[in-house]
Amino acid sequence: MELVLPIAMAMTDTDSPDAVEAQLVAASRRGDEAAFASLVRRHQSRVFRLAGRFFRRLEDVEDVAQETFLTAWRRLSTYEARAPFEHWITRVCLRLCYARLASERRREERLESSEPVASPHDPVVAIDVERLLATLAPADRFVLLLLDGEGWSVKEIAERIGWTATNVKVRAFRARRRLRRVLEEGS
Amino acid sequence: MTEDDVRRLLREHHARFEPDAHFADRIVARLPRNEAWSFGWAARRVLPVSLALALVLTIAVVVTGRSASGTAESASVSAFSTNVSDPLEWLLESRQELR
Repeated sequence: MELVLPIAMAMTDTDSPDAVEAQLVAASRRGDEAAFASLVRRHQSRVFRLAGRFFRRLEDVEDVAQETFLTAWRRLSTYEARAPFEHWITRVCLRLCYARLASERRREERLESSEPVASPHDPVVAIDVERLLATLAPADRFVLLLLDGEGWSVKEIAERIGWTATNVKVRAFRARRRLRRVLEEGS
Repeated sequence: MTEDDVRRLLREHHARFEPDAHFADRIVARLPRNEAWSFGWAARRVLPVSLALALVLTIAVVVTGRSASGTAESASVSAFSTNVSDPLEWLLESRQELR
């Protein structure tokens, strides 16, 4: 009798990371939940780190991260494997982050509330940055965090979020001009 | 704060949250299942209970059926004996009359 192992157990150490990832994606498409759990474990840190750029509260980051992987599960059939899975899941996460930022109407209220702001550095400076970012439109803030925060190029941002390079450049220019003005007014 | 300071701070602007050990399990628990899977799951959950219930009902039907048929049998026997005795009595009576 042939023994059929779940894909996550059947893989060997000699398989290359790309091959393993391709096997996990293929198995997940067939509905293998264990394979999908392995995919989640591979990419969860990156998704958390990315969401952590835009949201300060653990609940928000967790929500976005969960939604990212649930969307990935539902839409796995649209992944064509032309680019690494990591790029695709990054794009899904970015779109959800942007949608959440755009729908967030109470940014300033949150900043004025007494909720602690998670930061590894000086909390006073961190809140100053938060206040600066809160003066920007969600799309401008989004682009600025990807440019200066993640260190991505205009081309990379355009590719990953599906905007035109011109749109990204305009947003970045507007965001920097706005920040400059706020800083000048502050000084 | 200068523009360069802002850029530096944006690079550091990072909540640094890490997923806990059960994050993947929570995702798997929330995965939407298709209808076939749901029916299978429901069948696995409901099947033992429904089998037990069917067994209890069968036993109950058999037991009550037996006692009901026993009562009906005795009732029909007594009725038959009454009916049977009547013609005999009538026969005896008619013979006596002939004599």
